[in-house]
Amino acid sequence: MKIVNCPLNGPRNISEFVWGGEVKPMPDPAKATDREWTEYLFLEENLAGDITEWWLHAPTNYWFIARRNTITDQFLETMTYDAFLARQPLASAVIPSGEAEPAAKPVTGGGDTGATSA
Amino acid sequence: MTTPDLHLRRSPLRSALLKAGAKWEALGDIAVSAGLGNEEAARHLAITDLSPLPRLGFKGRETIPAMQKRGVTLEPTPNRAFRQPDGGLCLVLAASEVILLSPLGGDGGRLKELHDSWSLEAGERTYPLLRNDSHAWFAITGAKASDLFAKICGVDLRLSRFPDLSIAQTSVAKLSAIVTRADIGGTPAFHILADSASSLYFFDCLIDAAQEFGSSVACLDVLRSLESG
Amino acid sequence: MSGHSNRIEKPGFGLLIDHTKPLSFTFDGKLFNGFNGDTIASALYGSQQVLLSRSFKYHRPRGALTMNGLDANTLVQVADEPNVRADLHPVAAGIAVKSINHLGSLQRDAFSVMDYFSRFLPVGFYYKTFFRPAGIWKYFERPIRIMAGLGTLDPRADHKYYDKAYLFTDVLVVGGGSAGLEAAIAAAETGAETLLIDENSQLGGSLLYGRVSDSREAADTLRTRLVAKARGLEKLTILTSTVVSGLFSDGWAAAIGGNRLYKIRARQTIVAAGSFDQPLVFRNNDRPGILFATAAQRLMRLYGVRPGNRAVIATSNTFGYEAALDLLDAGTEVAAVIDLGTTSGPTVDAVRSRGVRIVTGSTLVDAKGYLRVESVGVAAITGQGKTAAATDWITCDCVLISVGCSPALNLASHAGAKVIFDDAIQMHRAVSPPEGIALAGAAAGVWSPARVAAHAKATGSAAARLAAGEPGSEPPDADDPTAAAITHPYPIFKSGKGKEFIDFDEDLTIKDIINSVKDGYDDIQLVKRYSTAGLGPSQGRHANLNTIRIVGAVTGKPLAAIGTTTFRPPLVPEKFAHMAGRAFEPVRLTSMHHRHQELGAQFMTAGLWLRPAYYGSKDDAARTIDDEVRAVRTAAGLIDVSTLGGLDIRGPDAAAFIDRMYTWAYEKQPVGRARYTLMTDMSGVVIDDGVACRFAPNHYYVTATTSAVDQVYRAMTWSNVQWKMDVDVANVTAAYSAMNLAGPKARAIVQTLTTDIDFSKDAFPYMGVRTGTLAGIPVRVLRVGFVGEAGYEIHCPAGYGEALWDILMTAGKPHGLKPFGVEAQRILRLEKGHIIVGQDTDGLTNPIEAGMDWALAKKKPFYIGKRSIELQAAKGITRKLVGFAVTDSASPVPKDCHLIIRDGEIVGRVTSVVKSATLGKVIGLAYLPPTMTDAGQRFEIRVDGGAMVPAEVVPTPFYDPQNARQDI
Repeated sequence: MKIVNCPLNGPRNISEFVWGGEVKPMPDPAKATDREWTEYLFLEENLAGDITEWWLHAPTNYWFIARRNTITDQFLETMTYDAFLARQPLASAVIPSGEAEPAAKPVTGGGDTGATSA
Repeated sequence: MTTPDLHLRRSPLRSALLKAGAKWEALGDIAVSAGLGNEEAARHLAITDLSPLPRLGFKGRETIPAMQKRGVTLEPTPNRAFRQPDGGLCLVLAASEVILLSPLGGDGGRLKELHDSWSLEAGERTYPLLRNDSHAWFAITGAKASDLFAKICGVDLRLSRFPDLSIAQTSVAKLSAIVTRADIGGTPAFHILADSASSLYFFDCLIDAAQEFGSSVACLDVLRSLESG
Repeated sequence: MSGHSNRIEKPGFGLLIDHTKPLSFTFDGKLFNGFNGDTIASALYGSQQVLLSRSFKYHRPRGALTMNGLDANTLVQVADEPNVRADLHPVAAGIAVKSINHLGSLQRDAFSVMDYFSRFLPVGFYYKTFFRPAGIWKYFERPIRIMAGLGTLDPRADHKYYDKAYLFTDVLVVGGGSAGLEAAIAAAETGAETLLIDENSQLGGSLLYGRVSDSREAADTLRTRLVAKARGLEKLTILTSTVVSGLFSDGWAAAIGGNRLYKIRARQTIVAAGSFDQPLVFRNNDRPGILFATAAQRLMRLYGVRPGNRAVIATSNTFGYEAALDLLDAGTEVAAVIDLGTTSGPTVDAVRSRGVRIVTGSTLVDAKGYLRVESVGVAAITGQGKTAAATDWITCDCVLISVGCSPALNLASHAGAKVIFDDAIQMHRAVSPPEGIALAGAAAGVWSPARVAAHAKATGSAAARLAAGEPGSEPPDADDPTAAAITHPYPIFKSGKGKEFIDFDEDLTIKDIINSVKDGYDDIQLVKRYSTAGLGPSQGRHANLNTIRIVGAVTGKPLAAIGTTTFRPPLVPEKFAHMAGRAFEPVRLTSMHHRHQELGAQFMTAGLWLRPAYYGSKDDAARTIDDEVRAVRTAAGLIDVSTLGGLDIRGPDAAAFIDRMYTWAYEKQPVGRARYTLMTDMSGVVIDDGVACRFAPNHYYVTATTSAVDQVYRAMTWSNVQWKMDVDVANVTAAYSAMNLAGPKARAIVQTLTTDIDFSKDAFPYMGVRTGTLAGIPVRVLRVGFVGEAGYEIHCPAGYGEALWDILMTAGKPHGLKPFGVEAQRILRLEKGHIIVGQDTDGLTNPIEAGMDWALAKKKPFYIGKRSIELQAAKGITRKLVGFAVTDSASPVPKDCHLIIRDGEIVGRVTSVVKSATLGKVIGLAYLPPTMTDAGQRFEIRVDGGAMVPAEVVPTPFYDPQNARQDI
């Protein structure tokens, strides 16, 4: 069984984790064309190589980012979402347009969601 | 002596504990099992239901400073437990969550104080959670405790690798669980918090896994004597 | 008791058996004797029962080959357990062992006529024969299965207790022979926690039965020393009678010991699994009594059983000569050693000096005897695979084979090591093993005792250092020139006619492999699949190398270019019971579970939960459910709804957060009110519903359906990791018990209790929510109306759930309160036309189709699914969920998912349907085309058996259309 290194809980059996899909930026739903929107919903890159995914540590309901190689089936690294964001200055959190104020606010410990799931 | 039905709060395990031969003592508004096990057996391997003891959770992005402000002993280190002056424990689960366990004596005064010092209106970004009700609390004590865990948990909980006051939030017998090592009077002790609705199932799993090592069911009194040496 | 004893009564023989503890058991109904410590096969061999089984295809008689559980010849049935390896399974007093794969008796198997029809069973027989005409296989399958099966499954057999356990170690050493012991000792002495696993009951591997530098004593002394040292090391844990059956990524190993599957996590793994003997391929090389030299040594040394009275040895290395010395010591006459080459050295001299005839440059070419070998034909080798005619026939009752070995590379290969053929030693080697994997001993190609020790020690301490995170050292030199003198390059001798077996499991002969290549399957992977070579229980241990050699000979390719087939786990047969282990299936019970049991509830599952379906006997279910419905409609009912999901959403952004997660608008929802919630996914599909209760400006309590709450919680936390809104989401499902007190008497009942909540109609209106205490218990009370009567959904901390249930039941008794279950609730809600997400919606349903347009906020800039729903709205819908009633009361009652047919075309589907006693008719919900949704529209439902039931569209709610009753 593979090991996944959870940023909160450390190395654990992959059976404790749930795959959350590839990280892909959501187009602004108010501005995207119908085609852009449906492609965002239904088309996947399906890349052979390094990909960036969401993973969830189920016992703590903790979401994080993993880089994985789909050819070698190796987890290359894992990180908090904030660490991931810090690396991509251009990508930002999902900010739907038309909001009175942007949703993303600088907060302490923002990457840590609550731990227990029940 | 009392019976569980005389109390407003009730343990889902009372039928199972009754079958194990439990007698009952009052502890606040709940009955707690008594008359099970002994110290020697608990130093070897014993399972104790601590669910009637008070516990309380806080969650939210300002949880750590809010606890520090109230004099709770803790550091912002996820998956570490901290002993409190009253003998209770503070489990730091994440930068945004703690669970506080009462001392084995069962005095919930400190926890009540913490709960009463909080109000939604104050706007602190920490929020209490009813851990008495959401989570059952079991203690696995004794030298053989890690052998039992090896049968139901995929995390290395050997005494040498999982020192006192470590926490593993993991899956135990297919249930999400918080496993904390907090030795009692020198006896290795693992405290498990897991879904209260699955208590009966979980208790069965623990007993089944422990059987081959010569285990017993113990009670709060036994752990209290371990604590006082 | 059958046969006279064949036991050796001398010191140095019978290491594992206790002569003072005889026991008896039966084999095919006949009584046999053995000793404590025997395996089934050794006890039978000791009683002269050499014949153990019949072969898979030709039903040829077979006996032990490896005496180590590595072949399929020894498969037997023990009571209800099929496919037991008789050479591993300890014999026990009174067990009933049966041979398998024969018709009639083992001695006279009627299916053995197959042996004479072999020309009709060519390689690829199944592919060539049963594919035409179409469907023919189903006529042949049954008789073929009867003839081909191994063992019998008893479906009534007790499952027995199997379980699993995790083991954690710094260094795992697989194999407890000299290499494994040395490596494990070195690793533990270097400071690593080390786990040594061996499949046999005693450590030592070949030291248990073999020789070191000709000397049995030297082997025994070395074993005793190593085992004592190993057992004395605190850091070294030893598991015997346990077999590692697979190595996987990240240091994960699976091992089976008894009824337990171990799941092992090791930082470093050393494979010291030894090697597999390779057969000599000649005519009738499968006759019982022909076995590997090591098997004969195991029989003698471990079990004190003499393999025969007069032996012939065919060999190409010193191991064969060592076995000759063992036979002589055991008192077996050695008629001749047939040396395929010209082995020399002190061992050969020792054999010669004891008067044994040695024939060099020759091989066995034939064997006579049927149930046991009687004599062998010997001929001179004239070229690769070629011999002169057999001139010499030697009488014997056993034949020992030692013509080469193949290193046990399976595990290393599982882990990702590359396997290549090394011409210099005529054996395979594992190269570039992945990080964390090393090999030692014969598996690494190291054979001579001194080199084995040095190499294994270095490997063990290197592994310990790597496990501690220290830099590794250069891998120790595995080059051992003595390895070249072990394996004969081509021990395959085809006869004019007859069968020379390559694969004993699958009954494949030289001709089968040649024909596979001739049929065009010249790649080794294709040969394997087409011929089935290596697909049997032995997994190619004895067939793989010789198959490669024949393919090489036929195609003219060098062996290195042919490659090898892929080794896949498991290494040994694994039972389903091992994989299943002890079933861990969590069951969630509500706080009131005991009360439901006492009330005679019939339970149904809802996710992991058990919920009362109804209270009463199964025989009277329909009437019971109607009674429960009537109680709710006319007096009051109490249902346990604790399984409903609950989420506390707290913080300044709580309302804004809920606005994004759900389709409706919540920012302006007053405190003290509940509002319906509908959740869609990003593509606009309905995934959940519930209510949002605003207890404070910054605090919502949101309910979710039983089965969806975990997904909803995940979706919320996933969203807020990205949005970073100032809100905390907590799944408090298990923390709260909940019960719905519903019916015209509900208010009267709660008003008998002590409470700080004003339950009067005006103070606590429909869709109001309150917190307070009820009979001393802290509660959250929701005036919601899923069942369409006045009522209160009361939530309290789970610890108080049972007490509150008791209090309400007692208070309600004078008012005719009855508990009701999920079945009654289904009827009640359908009478009100309320949908259940997941039953009345499917994986494509959008809110417009479900008739939920009213719950879509138009002015919000964003909610999950908004953009997709707008797209669908613009496109127009193709179906709509509507209420219907069956118009002919005499017609059969449709079921969920029955189809609506018009002009022979499917136009819709029933999602829910019940017989409503309240309304006196059958009502339901169904999807219909938008053109057919007007009230009074008639249509037909096709029910079981094909009858068409007439129905018409009826506006919902069916019951109390003005919604007056829930408001009283």
